Amino acid sequence: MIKDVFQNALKLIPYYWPMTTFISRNPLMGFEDMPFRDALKKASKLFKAKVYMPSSYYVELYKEGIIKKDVFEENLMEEIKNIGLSHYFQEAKKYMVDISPSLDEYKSIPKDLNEDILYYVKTKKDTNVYRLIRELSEDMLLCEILDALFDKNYTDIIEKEIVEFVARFVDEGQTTMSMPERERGMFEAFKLYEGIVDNIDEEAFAEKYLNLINPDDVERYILNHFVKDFGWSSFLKYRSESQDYYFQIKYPSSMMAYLGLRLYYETKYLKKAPIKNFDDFKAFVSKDPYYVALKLLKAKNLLHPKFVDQMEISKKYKSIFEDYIHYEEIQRASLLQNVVQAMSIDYEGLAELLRLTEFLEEEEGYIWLVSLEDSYIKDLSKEFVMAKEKQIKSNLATAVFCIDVRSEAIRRNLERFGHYNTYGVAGFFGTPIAFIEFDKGHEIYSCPIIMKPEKIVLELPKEGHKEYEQKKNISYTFKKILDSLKNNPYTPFFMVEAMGWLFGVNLFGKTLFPRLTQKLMKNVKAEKPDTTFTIDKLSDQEIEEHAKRFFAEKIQEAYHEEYKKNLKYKDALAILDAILYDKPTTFDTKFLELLKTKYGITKDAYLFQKQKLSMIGYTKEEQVSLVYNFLKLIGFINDFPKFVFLFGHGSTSDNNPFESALDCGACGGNNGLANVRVLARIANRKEIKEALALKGIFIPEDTIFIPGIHDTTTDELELYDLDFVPPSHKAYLQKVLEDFKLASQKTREERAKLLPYADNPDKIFIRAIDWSETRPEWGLSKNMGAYVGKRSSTQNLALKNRVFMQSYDWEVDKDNSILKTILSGPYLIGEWINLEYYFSTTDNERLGAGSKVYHNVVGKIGVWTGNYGDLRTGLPYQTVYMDGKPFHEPMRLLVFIEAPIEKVMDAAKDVPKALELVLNEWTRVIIIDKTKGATYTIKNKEVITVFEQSIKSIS
Amino acid sequence: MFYVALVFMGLVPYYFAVKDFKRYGSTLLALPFIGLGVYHFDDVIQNELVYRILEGAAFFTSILTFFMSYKTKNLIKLSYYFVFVNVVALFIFKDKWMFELYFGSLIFSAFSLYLVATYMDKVFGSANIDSITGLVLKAPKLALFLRFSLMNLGLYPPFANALIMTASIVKSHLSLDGYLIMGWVFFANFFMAFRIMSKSLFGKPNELLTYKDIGQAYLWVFTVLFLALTLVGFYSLMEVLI
Repeated sequence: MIKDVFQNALKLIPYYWPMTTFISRNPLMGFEDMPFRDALKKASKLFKAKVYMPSSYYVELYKEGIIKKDVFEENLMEEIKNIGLSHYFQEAKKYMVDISPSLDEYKSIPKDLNEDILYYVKTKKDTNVYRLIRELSEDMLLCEILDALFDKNYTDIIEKEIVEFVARFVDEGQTTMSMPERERGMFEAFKLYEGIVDNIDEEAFAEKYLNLINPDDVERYILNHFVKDFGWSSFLKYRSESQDYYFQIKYPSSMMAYLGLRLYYETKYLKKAPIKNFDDFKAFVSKDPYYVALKLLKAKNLLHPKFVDQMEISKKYKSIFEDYIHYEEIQRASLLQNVVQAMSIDYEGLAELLRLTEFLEEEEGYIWLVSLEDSYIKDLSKEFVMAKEKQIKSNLATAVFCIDVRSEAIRRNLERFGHYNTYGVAGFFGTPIAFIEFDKGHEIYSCPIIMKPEKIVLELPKEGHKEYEQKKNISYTFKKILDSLKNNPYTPFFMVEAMGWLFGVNLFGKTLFPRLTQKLMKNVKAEKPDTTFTIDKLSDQEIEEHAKRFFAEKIQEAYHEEYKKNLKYKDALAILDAILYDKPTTFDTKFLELLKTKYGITKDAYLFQKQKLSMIGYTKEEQVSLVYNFLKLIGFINDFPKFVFLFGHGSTSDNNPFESALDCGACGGNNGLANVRVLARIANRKEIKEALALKGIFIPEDTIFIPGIHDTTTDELELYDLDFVPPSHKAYLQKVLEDFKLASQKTREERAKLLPYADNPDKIFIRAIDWSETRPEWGLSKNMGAYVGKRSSTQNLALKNRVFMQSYDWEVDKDNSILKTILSGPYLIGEWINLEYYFSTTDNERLGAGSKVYHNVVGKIGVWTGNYGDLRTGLPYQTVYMDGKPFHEPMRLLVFIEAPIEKVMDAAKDVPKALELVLNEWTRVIIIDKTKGATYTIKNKEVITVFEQSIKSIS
Repeated sequence: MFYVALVFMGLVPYYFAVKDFKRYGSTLLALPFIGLGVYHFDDVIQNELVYRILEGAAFFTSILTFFMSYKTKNLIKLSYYFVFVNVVALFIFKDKWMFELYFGSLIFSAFSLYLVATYMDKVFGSANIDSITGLVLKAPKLALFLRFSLMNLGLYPPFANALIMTASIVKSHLSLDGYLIMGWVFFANFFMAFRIMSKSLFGKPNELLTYKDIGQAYLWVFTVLFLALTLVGFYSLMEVLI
């Protein structure tokens, strides 16, 4: 059985969410149980990806003073001390600052090549041809080996087959001709697709084809297959393990089936190949190992072109291989000699200098990264610990924003007026919901992806919505006509001639007059009517009634469809009773059977519906606890002003497949409006305020909670449900709205300086509607830290939209439960977001999505480059780079927690996943302990003092 | 003498006799040029049967050369393969001067391709089209030079070869075999040129190499020459059309 090795291989593949709910995640999440440094070494080899920036990048930061000299020197000293070479500090520094960024200049072959260095290189390098072949072929598929050996093209053909099947199977409505029989599941659909009659399960199927190929290391071979199409594997892993995902329920997929089909296609095309399995390959190697080694080196682009030329002229492969080895040794020795000479005037301690060079070659990325992080830690922790609280003039309103880095500037600009307090909380505002939007047939999970909501909230129109219905019907009819004309084989040409100009209006309008066109389209589009939410829980009787009505109506429709006659509601209920309670009925048993099989009206479906209905709304106790927990979480338990604004956030852009990547990550890649509207509705209830008072939180009767949305592209603050505002508050509200406007303007001015081609802040509005804009906003680019603590510690600093800010008051959190919640939620999400940006910057081709310019949407689930290939994961080039240079500054998340150190340690112990990430250093945690006036961090699993108010300490 | 001229121009694939293709590459380009000179002073053979036999032989050489070009990745070899593939074009030009113009332009472009190849061989250690990749990014001037040569050789308009060929088609009334040869010449040249362009020009740069571009002066000289050639091509086309 291959289950165990399959699971081990699968573990290293990350999840990847569909683009409609883009979730930033750590692409190396499968390695999180390892220390960051070791994991990166392993992952870099496995995924063939760059995991640090080139040294020239860090040196530039060093020269600009962003990486501090003393911090860098201290870190470098510590590292070389660990290998016993601290006496070569100056040499090491010279290597890292001067030599490494221009290493290419040190490759020339010196006239007097030092024999000792050459000998050192020769003895260090194992030139055994069989070992080399083993190493080179370790990460290759058999088809890739064949392509390398015989200059064939098997891999492309096989990949095309795999991608075509998978893309068609997972399609979510992009194609007009979807794959038939997908309901049977991936494996069965695949068997039908290929005409396979084997009556075995998917695991046995995969094993059968694996045995045909017969690799030595089965686990590695499975992993190679997954890594080959990293994007597809990641998406299918997410899909196959998401039992609530609509398309997974409808068309189930599994990773085992995916592996099986990959292996099937590989063996299918290798049937006539000269090598059919790894036994044949071994036999082939034994005949001419030098030829194989040279061919594999060439395929991996490790063979200098001059040896490729030699292979074309001569068949003396052994001699060419030996020449190659000699050439490599000379090259390496030359480089080492040139570097050593540049580091040190003489060859004294040559062996140690060589060891130092090789150590630095391997570890310089990490040393620079830690130095960059420590430079920020050193500066910021001092600022945070010394920060004094700002006094506000009057407490007119409190605004609560998402912890998202993009809230920082608007919060700061709002606070400048002196009448506002602001707080930060994960964008779902502690209100995880499955939200069914008005006029939408499906629910979206508006909460962090690691949670599963227990409550369903429906959006309902407040009053009649005739105009909406009319406009919607017109638009629906128009769309239907267009679709049918487009998909009919005879009509597309005629349609383009007759109606093409209609599209031209939009096309030219959007290009030449974007604002005007947007206004025009807004009028054409049906506008959603005023809505309300289902907040209260249904009683058992109501649940029963709704469920019965739902099924009875379904039965009536079915009856009409089958017999073309109407069925009375009373009779439909009788039929339903017959199905549910096996009661005798006079109706045709054939129809009853049809209801069960064709229309899915069964007892199980009825119970499921009831259970879903029971999830709608909150009991009063639940409502009280929701508001109570929310307020405690952010430490907002007194001094309630007239207004409490709850701002979810979303973004606006056009023609942007990555739009949801700019929306709220804590709301599952959705806009956070629904959550704040639910919370505000509950918090405004008189009985809830009364109940909260009994629990110690006194919210004045005239305090109004108002939901709103912060558009992160334009920085506009839009308010909703203003009918909560009593006449007595109207004048105050006017003042607040004016301040919001000014704060938005100020924030836009600030942001425009960082956006390319946005010299005027007004141009930011154009970016939101410009369909050719690849960079509507910077998103979370440049994110570098998270602050968990009181706003007073950060409000004196302009953190330039680079820090997640979670409000937390350790004095309120008596039992550490709030800190545990933060560590098990926002902390993990922050780590994922940060590392998605990190790796998309260090290697945008391999771990990011590449340039947006070449992207095409596939299956409505993601993008690929060009017209076929792997699904692109991670962030696009334009999100993290500008003009060929990284805009994002890749570093691990610096998580500052403002609380006594003992408290943080206690809380972390109870959140194993967070503890793992802290100890393995996937984030850097800095504890701001104001009770001791000191800050601490964790390095190599030990607590280290960073700063003490009286005594200066390390790094 | 006509036979000698044809042999020199590539009727017989005499590159088989040369083992060290790097050393004798310039000879393999010089000989067709000498053949062209001889051809200029001699008359085209009038005997129909002999003409057909020569046409068949040229076609065979062209196909064989095309096949050989597919087997190699070396740009030096490919530069003279372009000449041998085109020898068959002689049989679709009714005007002698037009063929001379075409073949002259061809040898010139092949020679410039050869120069690029030898530069690559000298500076990068090889002229392998699979290995010397991403020139557009790493050596843009050299890439431009290479692109001009290949576009002319690959019969991309508005470069001279494409225009002269078009002019000839417009002017002559081609027979069936003429159309066959023309189709073949277009296909073979385009395929060979495109194969080089896709990797050498636009591929991912090879990290094993240290790229070095050519000087600005070289670029100007060759740009002027290519422009002159293109003007000649236009002239030939205008003459036919007007």
